[in-house]
Amino acid sequence: MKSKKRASYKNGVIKMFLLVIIGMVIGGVTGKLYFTFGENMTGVTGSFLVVITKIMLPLLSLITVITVLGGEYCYNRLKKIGVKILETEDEECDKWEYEEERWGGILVNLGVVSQVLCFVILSTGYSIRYIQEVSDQRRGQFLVSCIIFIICYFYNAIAQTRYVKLVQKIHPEKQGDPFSKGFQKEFLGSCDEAEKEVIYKSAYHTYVMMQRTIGILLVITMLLHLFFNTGLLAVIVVGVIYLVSTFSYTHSCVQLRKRKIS
Amino acid sequence: MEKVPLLNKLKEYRSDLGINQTEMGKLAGVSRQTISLIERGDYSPSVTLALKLAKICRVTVEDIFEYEEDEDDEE
Repeated sequence: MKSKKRASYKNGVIKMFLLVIIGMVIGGVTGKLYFTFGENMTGVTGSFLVVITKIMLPLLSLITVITVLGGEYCYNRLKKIGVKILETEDEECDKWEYEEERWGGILVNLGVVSQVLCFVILSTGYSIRYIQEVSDQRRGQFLVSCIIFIICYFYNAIAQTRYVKLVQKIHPEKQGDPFSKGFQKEFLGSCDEAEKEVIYKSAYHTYVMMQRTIGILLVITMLLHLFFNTGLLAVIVVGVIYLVSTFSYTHSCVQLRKRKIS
Repeated sequence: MEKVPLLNKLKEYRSDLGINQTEMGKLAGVSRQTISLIERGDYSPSVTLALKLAKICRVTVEDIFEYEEDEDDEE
């Protein structure tokens, strides 16, 4: 038992030592690259952002069109799958329910990707300085971009609601009004034990993935600030997300444990 | 879902009753998918659900479900 513990500590120390060496190598290479190409990279990045700002309107329009077309395609696919689920029985139904889950996932992910892209693209021009410095024509284009952004955002919200309503039509036991505040709780409450297990496993997997990703992002944002002076805000935001996710998880565990003893 | 060490004859008893998974699910208060997962051995039901299923099939829980290690113990 003691020798196992000692071997485990030894492995842990060796792994940490190796990570430090890898960090040193990456840091050295990155530093060398920065001092060789750094100014050019800053220039290239700056030019890239200027280009994005200039083509913001057509880019947002394109994303919105793709989102709408993709969203409608996924929704129609789901409707057809829903019909199949209601028509088939037993093992054959398993296949269609898997397809329902898959296309539902594609629809949700499409909405999230389009929202994130819209936020990022709009943010390239979303500053008081930009709005004050540019010409009236550019300001008008920026206003139209904002309107398209809002349209895309509302479409995604409506698409999510339609998806929930469709799921409730296929599976009438699923409760919850997507417009109400308590929707998540109601929907979870209407799931049976096997469905809840899938949700809990997926949630835990997401939590573990987030912990790893956030740790890496913290280091990346710090390095970017070091080399490109990107600002402290990114580091703080990622740090806050780290804190919220960890505190939320531990608080939830403690509360659940407390309920069991009271 | 991981395979659970639980042998079950739920499909046989359900066939004897002449009902499909959806109808079985409605009687037990769970989804068709849960019944399918149990029959495939991909999900181990809670005690409450196992008792409900046994009551629907008019047998005991031990008639439907058998813990795989029990077979080895008996041998």
